[in-house]
Amino acid sequence: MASTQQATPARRPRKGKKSGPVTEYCALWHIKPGHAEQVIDEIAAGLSSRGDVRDMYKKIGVHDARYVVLDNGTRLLITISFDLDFDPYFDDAIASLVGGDKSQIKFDWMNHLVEAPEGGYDSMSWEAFKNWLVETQTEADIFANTNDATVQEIDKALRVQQAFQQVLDHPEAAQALQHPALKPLLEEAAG
Amino acid sequence: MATVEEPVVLELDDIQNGAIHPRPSPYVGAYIVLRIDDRRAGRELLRRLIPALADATSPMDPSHQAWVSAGLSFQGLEALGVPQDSLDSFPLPFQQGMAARAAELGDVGDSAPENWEKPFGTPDVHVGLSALSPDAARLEPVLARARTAFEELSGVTALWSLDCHVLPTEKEAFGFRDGISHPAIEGSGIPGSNPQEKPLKAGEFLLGYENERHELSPMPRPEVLGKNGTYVAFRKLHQRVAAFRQYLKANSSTPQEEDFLAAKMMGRWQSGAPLALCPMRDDPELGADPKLNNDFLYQDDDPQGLKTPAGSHIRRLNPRDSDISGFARFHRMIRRGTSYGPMLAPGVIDDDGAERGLAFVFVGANLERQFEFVQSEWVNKGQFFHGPVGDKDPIAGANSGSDHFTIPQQPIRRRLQGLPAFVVTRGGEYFFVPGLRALHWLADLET
Repeated sequence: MASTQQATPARRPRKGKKSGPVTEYCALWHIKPGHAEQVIDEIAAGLSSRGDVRDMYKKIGVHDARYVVLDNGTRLLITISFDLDFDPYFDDAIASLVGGDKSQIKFDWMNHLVEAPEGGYDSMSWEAFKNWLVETQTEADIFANTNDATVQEIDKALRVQQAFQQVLDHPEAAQALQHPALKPLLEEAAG
Repeated sequence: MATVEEPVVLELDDIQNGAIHPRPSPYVGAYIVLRIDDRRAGRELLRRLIPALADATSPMDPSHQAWVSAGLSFQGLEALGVPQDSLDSFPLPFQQGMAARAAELGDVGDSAPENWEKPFGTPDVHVGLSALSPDAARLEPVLARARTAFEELSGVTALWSLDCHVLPTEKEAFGFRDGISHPAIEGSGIPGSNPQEKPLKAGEFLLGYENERHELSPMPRPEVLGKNGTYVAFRKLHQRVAAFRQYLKANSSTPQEEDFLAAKMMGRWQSGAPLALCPMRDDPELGADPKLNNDFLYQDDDPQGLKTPAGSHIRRLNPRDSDISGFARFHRMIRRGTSYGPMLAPGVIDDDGAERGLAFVFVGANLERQFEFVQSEWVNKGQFFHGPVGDKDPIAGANSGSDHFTIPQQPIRRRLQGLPAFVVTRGGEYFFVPGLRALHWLADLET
């Protein structure tokens, strides 16, 4: 059945610092008394239900994600670094994991938070869900990244590096790399 | 327990035919922009127009192949005296209008709003009329009925018009067959052009129905105004045909190589045959066959883009099942292109100074998630397909003369350098295309 909940129409200024193509998301929520264990269990179950977490993060361009229960089980900290912009990609990235079906996302852990939306996670539209994440977000004061590469570019660079090392292992590599077209590679071959 | 989805029932007799109907081929058409100087005259205009507008019943009926559609800009709704709380309920991109969104759309430099044809980019664009027909004989009577509605009506002024027609080659100005791709929409009775694509939820194209997110798209209030309406993004796009041909020639050593390069940039041969199905040489018979020329996916057969480059025009505009960042079904749209101006004669590579190009029409329920997303993320960036960040559409992108286009091939990829912009935006605007009951509601306003 279609939800009758209306999405918020306006594009609003989004929080989240950027460093090159990477955006940070940080939130520090309050956990309902006695719900700390359930929060972590449900986050872990949601992640494991998607198969290999690294593969999932690579698919949606997440560099790293951290989930921390603080202050004697009363606070939940989440920090994520990801490629592209939160708006418009965040819900797209999640939708790509579940074929567009929001009910399959398994973000019920949100219901254990003091800041949980009225009516719970299931009652929210895509846009309301996205807006809730932004409204309860704590933007980093400083966010720095080591380079301007996306997850996919890093993955490609690692594969190229692996291939380059295989080339260097070949007994005739030094001779082959003398060709002028390969000069940039030769400059990287000594170390 | 498995649930059975009930088939969606669209109120086709309330939906304007132009909202969902594919462009005929061949075609003739016209676009007209009006300004409402007096709200009572504007409402009278709507009363006169409504009988001239076709609804979407029996979409495949030959008698429904010629039609007129009417849309209103945000300023147009204001000029009609729509109450403020209703105006405020429209999404921000529509309220702001296309010119205000120029930076996000890549309308910069020659394409910037300050260089647009007037009245585009001014507050004077209120009503947009479009007429499409397979031939002039059927166009004239439907267009005449619409013209009668505003001619000699004091308080409404016709500001701009554009006639469109299929070129003698039955292709667009760069030389490619167009009008090939059209999505299937649940409940519309119109088959999609790709049999491998599951029909899209009606709410992706019409307000008041469930969309691909299993919810309703944002709808203006009151419901009678929003239900069965949709949004149109209209753009007049000048095509630099001579520059395109010069670029192909400068980067090729034979005419055959020029054709191959053009096909790699477009994703189809000029005949319309897709590289996905005939990667090495053109197949005009396939290109002309509407049952076959859009029947393909990408991921299993060509994940690396060795046949159809991931950065090519058609793979950007509709990545199908490609491995991309994002969820392609959230960004599908109806696209209609109609050519204007004279054709540049075959073989000519010097610019003759003629104004020629494409009147582009987007139709969809969410300007921001569909048209603006595709324009900013898919046309003018490369990250979504894991390509270079600044990589743009080689045909329609806002290229600056220093951009490049990568053609994956073995043993090593080819990279074209120094891509200029081959398309320049001459103007455009966002329109709300109401259902027929909504038009009556607007005509009966008493503010």
